[in-house]
Amino acid sequence: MILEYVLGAFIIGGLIGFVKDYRASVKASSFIAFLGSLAILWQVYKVYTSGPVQGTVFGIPVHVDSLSAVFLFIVGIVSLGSALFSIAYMDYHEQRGKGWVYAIAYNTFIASMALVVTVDNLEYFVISWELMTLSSFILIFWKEEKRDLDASLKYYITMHFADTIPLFLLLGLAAVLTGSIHNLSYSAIQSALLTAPPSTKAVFYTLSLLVFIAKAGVVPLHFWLPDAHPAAPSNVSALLSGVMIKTAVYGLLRFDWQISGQSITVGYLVASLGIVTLTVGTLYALKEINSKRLLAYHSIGQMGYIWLGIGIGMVLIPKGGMLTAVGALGMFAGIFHAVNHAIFKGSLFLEAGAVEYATGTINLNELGGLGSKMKATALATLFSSLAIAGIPPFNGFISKWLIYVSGYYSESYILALGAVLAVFISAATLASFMKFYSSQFGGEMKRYSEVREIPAVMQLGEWILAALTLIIGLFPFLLVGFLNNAVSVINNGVATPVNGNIYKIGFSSVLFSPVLFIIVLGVIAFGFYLAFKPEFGKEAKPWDCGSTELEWDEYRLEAEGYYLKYEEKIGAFYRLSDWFYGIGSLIIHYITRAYLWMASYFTKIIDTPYTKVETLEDLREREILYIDEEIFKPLLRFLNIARDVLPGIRLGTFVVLAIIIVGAIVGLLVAL
Amino acid sequence: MEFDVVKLGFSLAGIIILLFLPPYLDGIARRVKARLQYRRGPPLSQTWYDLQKLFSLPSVRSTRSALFTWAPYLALASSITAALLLPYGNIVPINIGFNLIVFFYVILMVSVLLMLAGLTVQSAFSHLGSAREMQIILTVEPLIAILYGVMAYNAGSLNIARIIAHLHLTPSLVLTYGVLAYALYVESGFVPFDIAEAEQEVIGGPLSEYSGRLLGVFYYAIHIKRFALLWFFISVLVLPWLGTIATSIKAVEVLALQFLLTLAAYPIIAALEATNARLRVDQVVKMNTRMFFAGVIILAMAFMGW
Amino acid sequence: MNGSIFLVSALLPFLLILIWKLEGKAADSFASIVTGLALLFNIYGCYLFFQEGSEKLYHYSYVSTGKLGEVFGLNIDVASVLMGLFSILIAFLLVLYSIAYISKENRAFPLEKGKGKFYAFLGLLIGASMIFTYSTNLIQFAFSLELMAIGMLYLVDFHGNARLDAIKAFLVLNLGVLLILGAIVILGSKQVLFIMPKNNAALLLIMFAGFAMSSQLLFYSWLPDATVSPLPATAYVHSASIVPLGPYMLFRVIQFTKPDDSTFWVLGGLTVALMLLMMIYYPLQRDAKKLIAYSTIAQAGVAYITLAYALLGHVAGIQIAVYQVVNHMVVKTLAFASVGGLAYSMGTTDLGRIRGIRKVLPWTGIAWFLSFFGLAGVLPLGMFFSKAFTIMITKHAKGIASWLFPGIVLIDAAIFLVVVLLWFREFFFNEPTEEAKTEPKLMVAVMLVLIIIGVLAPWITLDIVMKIGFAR
Repeated sequence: MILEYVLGAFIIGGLIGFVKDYRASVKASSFIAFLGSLAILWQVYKVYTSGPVQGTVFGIPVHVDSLSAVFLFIVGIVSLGSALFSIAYMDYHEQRGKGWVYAIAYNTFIASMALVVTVDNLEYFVISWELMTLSSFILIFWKEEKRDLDASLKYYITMHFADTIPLFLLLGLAAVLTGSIHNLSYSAIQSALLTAPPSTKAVFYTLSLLVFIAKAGVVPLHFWLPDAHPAAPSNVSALLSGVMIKTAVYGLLRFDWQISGQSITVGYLVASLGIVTLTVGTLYALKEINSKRLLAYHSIGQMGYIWLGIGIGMVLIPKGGMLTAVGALGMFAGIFHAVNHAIFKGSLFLEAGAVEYATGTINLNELGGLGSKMKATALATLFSSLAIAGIPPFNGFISKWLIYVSGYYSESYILALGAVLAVFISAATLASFMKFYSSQFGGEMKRYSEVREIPAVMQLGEWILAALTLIIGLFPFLLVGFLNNAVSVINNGVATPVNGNIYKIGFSSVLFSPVLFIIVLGVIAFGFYLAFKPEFGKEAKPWDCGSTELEWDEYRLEAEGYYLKYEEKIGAFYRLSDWFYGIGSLIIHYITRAYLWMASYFTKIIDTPYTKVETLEDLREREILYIDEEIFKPLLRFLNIARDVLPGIRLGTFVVLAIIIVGAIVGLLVAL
Repeated sequence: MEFDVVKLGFSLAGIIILLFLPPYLDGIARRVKARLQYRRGPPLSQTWYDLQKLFSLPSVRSTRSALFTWAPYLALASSITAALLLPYGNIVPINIGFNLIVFFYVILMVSVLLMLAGLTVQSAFSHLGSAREMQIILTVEPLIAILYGVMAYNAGSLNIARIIAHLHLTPSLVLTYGVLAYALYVESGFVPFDIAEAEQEVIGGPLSEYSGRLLGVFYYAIHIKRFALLWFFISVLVLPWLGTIATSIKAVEVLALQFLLTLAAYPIIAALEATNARLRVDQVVKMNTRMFFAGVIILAMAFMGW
Repeated sequence: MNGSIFLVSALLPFLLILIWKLEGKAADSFASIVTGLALLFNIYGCYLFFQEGSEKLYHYSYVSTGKLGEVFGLNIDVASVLMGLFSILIAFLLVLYSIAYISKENRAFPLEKGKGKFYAFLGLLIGASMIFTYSTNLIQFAFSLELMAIGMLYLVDFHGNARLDAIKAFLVLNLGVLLILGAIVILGSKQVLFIMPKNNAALLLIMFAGFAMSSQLLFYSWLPDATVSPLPATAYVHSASIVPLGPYMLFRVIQFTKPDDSTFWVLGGLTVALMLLMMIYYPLQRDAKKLIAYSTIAQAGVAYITLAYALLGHVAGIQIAVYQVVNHMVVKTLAFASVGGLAYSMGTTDLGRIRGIRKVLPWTGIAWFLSFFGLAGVLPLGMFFSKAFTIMITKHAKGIASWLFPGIVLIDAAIFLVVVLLWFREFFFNEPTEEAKTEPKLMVAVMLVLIIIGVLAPWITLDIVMKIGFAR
């Protein structure tokens, strides 16, 4: 099985990190991760051409069906770009040392994600899931800056409470369902759930949804994401945002749809969460001026689109008739958007990393004027930005468009409103990426006149993904069969009636032909360009009203000033969200207070009884109180007195006493 | 092959209309405004003369960015493409995607390119203008999206032809027409919503660094975009109630009706422009947000069958 | 298959008492050779055992009395072989660790002389633990526990600063002995495991004896206080000796008598109450050793919970109890080894006073990271798996226990993890407060071996524990 090569590559990639020299270590391990990613894609291709494969990889039961293949493709393609990019990018972090930690965690991370989407057994799913969480946690704190540490802690604690605990309970539930701890394969759980009582099913839904909500960064468990994703090195951020949160989508489809059976209620829940998430995530992104945080918030927002699409599918597929087709389209579009988001978000994070590599900052307020210095990166960023904003003919447009179509056709008010909000948020995304692109690459600044383009291997890494945004956008039908297999495998053969051919794609009577579109657009643009070639007279600096005092670099709009008025006007939204956030921190605050109150009874009060306990440190200063000690205090006092009264009592005395007593009893027993 | 000839004829007519009419429309508007202000006003082809003049002048180059050079052409191509997606008579010149959302995005691309162009130069004015343009889009897009929602639900399709064929009159549709007119008016950037270019404040906004031929191309693109939005509105407003267009004769009549209504709408627009002063960004945002919530109610009405 | 191999392996460590007066290198080499030999014998024995088929049970009787029946014998089955092997393996590694750790270079506990004495008591502890592991009857349990108690008494007060703590430990363990004796009184000559009848009174007494051993309610404070003993000895007590042998003894009794479920709530309820208590204690503790002690108590609690499931007649309960205990051994030893690194190099085990571990003590840092996170059930070490299986066999619980027990187990681990994470942020990174000695190579080597064993053990032992079954 090819997956064996995949795992083998990542194991070697991790081990090779032990090379002493930092550069050699990161370069070699990244390169081997690149080979591993190629092997992943090879496996995907094999599954696509010759059907699902099943078997064991190093003793791990795997089953790569069409759904797994789609997500394995996501893992492979983003890792491919990221690994290539890493080969040169990791030099940037040389002063942090410990390349081997990076090497192991990075390779483990990709390998575990590949396993998450391919294993066929709940136990191994949990193991790979936990491995994924752990390795990503290590990568997030890898830079060891104070803020990154806090972010990684927040991430890990959230994951433990919202992922690990429910997953373990899910294991327990699965063992109850299948009646054995040795047979937790998906098919066994699925058939057990068929006959399970509704309450058991409800528990199953609740637990698994919780897991995937938290991992996907869906509101209300999204708070960790904007801190954690930017904290990692950019090549890892690409994997976090591009791939890791997609495993939650995989889980959602696998567990809450295929295994647990169809449920319209869950569908409405997923869709509404998607609607809220896409709104909250993107509108927060609009305010962001840290480029990686901005991207991270957009990951939340785009995840909302994916959930909305899948939610539409979950609601409509069971309804039958035309609505089933619409639902299948929604699910199809959701999965398609997951693929697309992986590609352009991976690319965008790599580009943010490229800018960081070249200039040393990711603050959009400071950046600017890089367009002429880093042409390749600028163009790649433009492609990916237009893709995420859903501008035709890039890939983001196609999948978003299909989500809108399914929402508008759903004949359900909530879902249609979801589609409306999705269109709106698409504009907000556009706004955000206008800012993202132009505040980095627009204008011309003296500050960055010495900046040079990044090394070729990094460019190759980002361009693999950036080029795909256009290729998939132009020829979306290339992926239709691939994705439709996935939709049909989890829907008992219901596939999406997406029609079209190599140069167009559509659903019932709505069609779009990206190729024709780009040809028309190109012909007109070129035609006019040739007919009215631009003629340039003199060159002049932009007009600055004749000011003499103006600093050239400052003659522009700072990133935070772009949409200030708009943000003020929708301030109510931010206040509402902040209020919810405040509630969250208030709950944590009161839990802490309650704990301190309780714990104060387990410490000995040394000074006055009314000492105020404000923090844990106050309590730690005190001596700890043990209940049993308090109960037996009289006895201890007696022993203390005995020790003082009886001269010459030593430890040995106790031994002798004890042996005498025990011996006497044993002797008595034997004698009787 | 006779039908193809007809189609070709209508397409050609459409192309001629969309290429030549827009500057004249602007001419009409200028004339109307002048008359309202008791001036004589320029000739109807004045906008054409202006464009001609601009086309003959070389541009001042304020950045070496390729995007700066290409943006006007791409914007023009986008607006022409958008206009080509609309029905002329009953013929759509090119069928690259016969649906609302594609139209909506292609129109949006004009603005996107305008903003990108403004942001490629190192100039606070053009940045400011681009940001303003974006803020208008931010508030008007949800409005348009929700109106599309109403129409799609009403007609059961997002396909423009099917929408036209299947719309049925309900109170919500009437309201939709009203709000749609407003939204498209805002989207076109007419006064009082011309805050992006706002000559007096931000000296032309995104266009402030453009001159000569490139500026001419941009202006042309913007005129065509306005025309396309208006033509779209007129088509959605009128075509559903004319019944199926089976014959070429009827199609010609319809085309003529579209044409005349477009001409007739411009004086109204010009009157509105002449009698209003530019709004501030926050005012626009506020108005559009209110309109959006009105839209939510209209959508609810549509789903209740009203 | 020959019982004397295991007998030799169990008795060899007692030889260490002979080096009572020895010091320095001589003591080191003698101790490591003796424990190494014991380990080799044990490995050979295990090899023979598994070759003959792991379902078999061998019973060797050495001493019998008329009234009480057998009082000394060996009970060689898959559970005791597994426990014994890990116990002696850990002992050997800890002896190696002590060679470097117990020295005057140690910043926290510099030791000029008395190394031989340390080995002697450690040997007593090791030997007694081995005899306890292979025990066939309650008398043998009581006897070896008494030996361990004596060893503990001196080890806790080894530095001469913790007399009361030593006496407390000694008293509690003797209470355990008395409780076992009480059970013997009830059972009479039926105190031999193979003929032991179902008897709930005796079971309760043994249960509470086990509680005393593994520091459960009602006597849970001796273990945290006993951490003042030299660190390798503490590590041994926590991981492979007295503490895990508490649940092991109960496991033996349940395995051989298959009691009914009338004591289910006593066992489960007290354990859960204790784990709740531990959740309160974790954040209060600054001292790494005591923090581990709380975790030990809770982990022993997990084993008791699975044993409670076994009381309901489910074989998975006893299997997972052994699995939990065995995995806990390695992780806990590693945790202590890393804390030993802190004490040796930084001169303190107070987490609040240490900074920048990852820069100055990279190896100890890795061991700390893996073991402390591992104790909270984080991969790749074994507690993850034992915790998972504990949850998975919850289906055997009844009533409220079916959600309360797993919930408590998970939340307990989660709170421990949060506490560890908060310490991790404080002391793992930042700038080091002061210069630190590098940890000796031998200590590092032991930690690495433990990490490797810890990663492999859960995969290997799972199949082995699945062979455990009720004896009748």
